[in-house]
Amino acid sequence: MKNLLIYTLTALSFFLFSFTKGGYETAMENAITEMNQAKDLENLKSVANKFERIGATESKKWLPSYYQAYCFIMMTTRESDVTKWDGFLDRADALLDQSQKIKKANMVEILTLKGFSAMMRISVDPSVRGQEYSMKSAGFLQQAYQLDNKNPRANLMMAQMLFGTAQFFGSSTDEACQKLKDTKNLFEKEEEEGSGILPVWGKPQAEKMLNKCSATSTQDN
Amino acid sequence: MKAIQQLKLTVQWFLSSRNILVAIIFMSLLSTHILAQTKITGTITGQSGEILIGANVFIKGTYDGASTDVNGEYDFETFSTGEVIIVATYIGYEETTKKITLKSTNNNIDFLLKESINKMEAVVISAGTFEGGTGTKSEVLKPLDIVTTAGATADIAGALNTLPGTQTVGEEGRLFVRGGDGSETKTFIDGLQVLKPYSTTIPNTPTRGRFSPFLFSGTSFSTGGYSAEYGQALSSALILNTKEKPSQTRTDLSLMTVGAELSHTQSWAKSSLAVQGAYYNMAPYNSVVPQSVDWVKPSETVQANLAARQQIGNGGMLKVYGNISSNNFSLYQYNVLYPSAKTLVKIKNDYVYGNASLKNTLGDSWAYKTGVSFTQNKDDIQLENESIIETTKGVHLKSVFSGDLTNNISLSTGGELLYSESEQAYNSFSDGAENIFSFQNPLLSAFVESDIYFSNNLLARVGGRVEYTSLNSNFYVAPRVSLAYKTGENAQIALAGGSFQQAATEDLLRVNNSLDFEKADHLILNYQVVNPKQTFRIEGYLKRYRDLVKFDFNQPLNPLTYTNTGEAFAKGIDLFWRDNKSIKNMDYWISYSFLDTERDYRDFPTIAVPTFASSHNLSIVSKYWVNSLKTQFGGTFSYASPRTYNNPNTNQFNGELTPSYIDLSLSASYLATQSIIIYGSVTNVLGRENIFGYTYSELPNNQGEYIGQANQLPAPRFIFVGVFITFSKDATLNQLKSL
Repeated sequence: MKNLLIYTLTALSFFLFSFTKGGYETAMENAITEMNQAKDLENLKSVANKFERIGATESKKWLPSYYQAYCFIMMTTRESDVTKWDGFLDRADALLDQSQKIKKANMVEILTLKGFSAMMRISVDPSVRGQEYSMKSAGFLQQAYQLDNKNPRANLMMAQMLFGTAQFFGSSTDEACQKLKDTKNLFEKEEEEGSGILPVWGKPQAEKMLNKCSATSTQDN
Repeated sequence: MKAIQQLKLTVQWFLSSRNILVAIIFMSLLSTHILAQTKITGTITGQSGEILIGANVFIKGTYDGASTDVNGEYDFETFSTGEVIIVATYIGYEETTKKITLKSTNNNIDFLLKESINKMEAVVISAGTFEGGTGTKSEVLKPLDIVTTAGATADIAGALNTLPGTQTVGEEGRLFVRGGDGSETKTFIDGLQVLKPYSTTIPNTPTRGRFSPFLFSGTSFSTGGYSAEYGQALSSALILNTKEKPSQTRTDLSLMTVGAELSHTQSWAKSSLAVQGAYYNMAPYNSVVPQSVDWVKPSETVQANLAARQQIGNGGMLKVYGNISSNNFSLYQYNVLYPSAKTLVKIKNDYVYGNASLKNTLGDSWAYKTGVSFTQNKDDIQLENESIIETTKGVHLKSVFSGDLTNNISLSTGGELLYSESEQAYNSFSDGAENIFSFQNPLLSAFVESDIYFSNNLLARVGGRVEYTSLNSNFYVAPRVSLAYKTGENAQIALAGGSFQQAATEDLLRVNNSLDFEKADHLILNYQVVNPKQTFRIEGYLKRYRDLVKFDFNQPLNPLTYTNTGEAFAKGIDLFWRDNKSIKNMDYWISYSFLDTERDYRDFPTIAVPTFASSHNLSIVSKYWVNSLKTQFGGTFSYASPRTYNNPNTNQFNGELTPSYIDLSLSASYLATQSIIIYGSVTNVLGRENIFGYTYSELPNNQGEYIGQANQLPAPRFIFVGVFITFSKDATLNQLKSL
């Protein structure tokens, strides 16, 4: 009888807890899961809306607008008409500006995402935008890297840029590939430590890039 | 909160009752009673009835909400009761809220969203203006275009000279716009006026801008009808915006056939400092490439630049820029009539320019810019028996406030103080004559301008400026109006008109201190289609000049002969086509300008076509990237129809015509490695002997004839080779970004 009482009390307090404090976390977790499973533009829009709803209530949290921005950047990968990309990226940049004003915001993650956004802008019109936006992108990433050179996403973006540049000049991608290997280790370490609702995206991208590396190195041999 | 309190009560009751079964039954009831959900449904459409898919609808203060489906419909459930605020958002539309009292049953709430004014997509003021580096849709010339345009020799004015509305005046190097002379184009850096923006040269040698194109991230070149923010320019405003804070620490070294440049940029989290030193000497080049000028000491220049940036608060920025240079050269000048008589001319120029500007936000929707600039220029000209020293100083103070009055109306207003003084000291060593001509011109002005968006498709800009100068204690009012209407997704038509004025040039004001401002009225009609990789523009204009300064040719130093009675007109059509799409890796543009102009000013005896005007100007610029060679090749073809010149042996003033001007210039830039670029260019590959006009002897010879000499460049071609090296911790950087 007593055990049952304790059990029920625990269950009840758990219920109470999730209702008061945990609501934000649960909502974020659900949205992040949905984001990771998003297949098309509509899915991403709907998740972005979810983050917007959470963000509208939790104005002192940086993550909702951060994730909303990430969704908008990812929309470019699901939209074949490049003339629409600027609209998504404008929104993403505005959200990131908003996010970085919030106290305790993780500047490394935000700067990395800003670098990512600038990188996507290049693809809209590479010959015209290449110079300007590669510089912008490099600037954001370098700032992020200076703040935390162990952040897997900042490392991934840097490696991606090194890889692209090396490919353009037909020079060796060894440096970029070494960086990707280090990046993969950083991702694995992050996974072990677990990070709740904090950003973890990027590992599959790193693995995909590493495959490209091994493909080129076998060609060389 | 209500629900939580009820739960707490439930727990207390449960603890006291000890009846778990009852509690469990109660718990199951709880979920249906207290947490009963209300359903909300509806449709979201745009103003013109379009279905909005993926719009966001939610209850303010909760996470409850949904996205609209393919039919623009939504539905969701909420625990909220009573009065709530429902918010609907969608990209490109204004956020809309509705306050409602929820019914326990179904609630149907439809939204009609209004399109928001998106300044990136909306119509822009296009008449008269070529934007560059602004990232907006109206952008025509990118910053790197300046450096990679063959024939421009990395000079800003050189590259802009390939745009329609400019006249090729090959011996000058300055910008001559729509029938205006070189002094009618004013240069602004970060909104602040620059005096003497071009280096000192001798006649028939084109001058170069003092400022490196690498300094700027944005260029706006207006050939007329520009914003009320810019004053004291009759024909054209060249608005240069310096780069924002650089994010990388780097060192750049440039080795060129004309000299060397070394620069270092140090970047911190919120600030940066860049210093550059340069040394140019034309002696080695002139010893290899024969020159028709008899140089004693070819041009030698030492220059230093400094740029500092400090971020302030959120989005604020303090910029400081400084440029100091010193240049000297000497040569023999030959008398047209007696070719054996030559005079040694020594010229030394010292130049200082500095500016500081601060911009920041004031609350959410207002921003201010404030700044000060300072220019000092000294030309010291020593002839064998004469000395002429010209000194010009200028200070410009300016503050601008801008912001949105409503979603559709923005306002910009500001005040300026422009002070300039100029002095010419003439000394003759042979007869001891001494003359000093000088003036001070303090000028106060204020402007106000408003952009009114009637819709995303129709924009009006209305404004004006007021200026007051103590030179002649006159007030001047200059109204300006622009209209732009979007006729298609990428096409628009624009109309601009206004009144423009500037103080008489310093050589005139030094003689007569109380001259009135010279004035011009512009009327411009523009149509343009800007696709992502193709631009087409056609622009027609009418220009009428009033109150131009006139003086007696025989008494140029007598202030009493100076009057503001001159006048002029200019009309023409400018065409521009740029295509970066049709041919892979090829970018080209074609500019054509037709100009019809005549003027009666300065010492003109009658109304006539000025010597700098040509009726037809054509430029074809192309750039072709060859990936396998990692090289960009460039070619520029320029044509200008014959220009007038005055032959004193005839009766008709400016009655003779030069041959037409033709130039073909080529360039190549090779990316040797990630950090080394090699650049080479040759102007006038065809070697055509272009003639810009004739200089006649001051007095006739024994046969009563004035002897003429063709005005030509000191060498038909200019060859340039440079190596640009970047040192940086980050291997991905090189000057490619700036080149």
